[in-house]
Amino acid sequence: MRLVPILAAAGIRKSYRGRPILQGADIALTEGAVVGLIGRNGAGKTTLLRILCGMVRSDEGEIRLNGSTVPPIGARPGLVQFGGGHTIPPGVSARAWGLLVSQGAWRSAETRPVRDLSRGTRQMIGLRATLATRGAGVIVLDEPWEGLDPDGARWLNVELTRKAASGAAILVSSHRLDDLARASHRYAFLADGTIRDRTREEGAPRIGGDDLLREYDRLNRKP
Amino acid sequence: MSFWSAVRYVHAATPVRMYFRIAMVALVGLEVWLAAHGTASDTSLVMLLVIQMFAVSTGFRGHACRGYYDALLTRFPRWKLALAHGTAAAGPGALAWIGIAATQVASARSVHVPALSAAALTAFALVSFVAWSVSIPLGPLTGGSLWLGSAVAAVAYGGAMRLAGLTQAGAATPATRFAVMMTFPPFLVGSSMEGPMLAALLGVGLLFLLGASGYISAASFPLREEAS
Repeated sequence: MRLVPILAAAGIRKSYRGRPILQGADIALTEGAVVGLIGRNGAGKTTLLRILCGMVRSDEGEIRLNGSTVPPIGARPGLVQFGGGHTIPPGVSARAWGLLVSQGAWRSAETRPVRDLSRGTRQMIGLRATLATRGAGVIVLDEPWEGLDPDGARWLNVELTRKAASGAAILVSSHRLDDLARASHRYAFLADGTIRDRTREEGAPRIGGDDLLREYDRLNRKP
Repeated sequence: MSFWSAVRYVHAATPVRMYFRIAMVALVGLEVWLAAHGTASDTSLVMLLVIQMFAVSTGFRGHACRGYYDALLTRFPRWKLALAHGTAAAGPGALAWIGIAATQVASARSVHVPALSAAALTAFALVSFVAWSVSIPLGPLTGGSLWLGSAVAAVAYGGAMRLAGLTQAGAATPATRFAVMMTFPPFLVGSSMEGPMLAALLGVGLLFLLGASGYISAASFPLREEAS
């Protein structure tokens, strides 16, 4: 595995209405690695993901994509993102959505409007369309296991491993620590507006969900 | 992602509401019926302008903050996204306008085609640009609602006939005529408004268009629960 940062953010700060959310967060996504982003509700995970994806402007900080600084707001060539089934417009047909997001690479057998589908099916439609997009060097997923049944979760884990093996840099935010432990090579804990990075050493025993939970508790313990 | 893929995406995600599209088709049908009976009228054009005020006001910010445009925001230059969004919003109205114009051309007894006059085309552009632009930050239907609200207020204050009279050349100062046309652009249809006045009205429309495109290009779109 080469440790070439494809997408990197340094010193990211963001406040909403004077309330600091991110206070100098640093994160780097490297080729062929899945990074699991962990943090409590309201820690700023989604904000950080949307800043990385160019949808939200940070107050401070720099973002580099393939070695070049990119504007805080705007398109990120080669990056695909999925923010969860609730981000799919309810009136659109699942088939049309799959074709549009994957740019013709994936066609859903489901033709009903998204509003008529279960939460898990909506989630799968979004994930399949996003992950089928050709030429995606960076993949950013927010709570991808939400609503998935065991078959869906297994499919996603296999797909993430396959994408990473083909060289994609992947960032996944989730509260499902067991799934995250299974899928990730590195873990980024977001607490108090900053990132604490943990890397699974080559050959070291596999980190489990319990280990992540212990670390999560330690970082979020109030003095 | 190509420009037309982005237009299709916007059309699928946040289409012009079905009842507006049905009304537009009905207006083209009305124009065909009028032409078949040898009747010439600006009714279809005036009604289409009023419908377009609302139809083109599809909104942007609210949908973007629900994540509906995420795939476009991450993959597509923002100014092109603004153009694609505007095209998807104004498209059905433009097609209906073309349908009415084609009917008028086919049935024309003179070279004058009302839908293709400079004043009528300016009215269509002004309505589309301003109503779409207003709805970008404020939300669906706001462009049409605000415009119609100000038109109703103007009529209540000044009287419809008096306002219509003010649009005639020499009836009022250019500034007053400009204000009346801005308040109720359907008055432009069938009027013989001079070129500089039309250019000024179109200029205002373009300023709105630039403002809305700039907003889409520069704004943050946090998910609603994120910024609350």
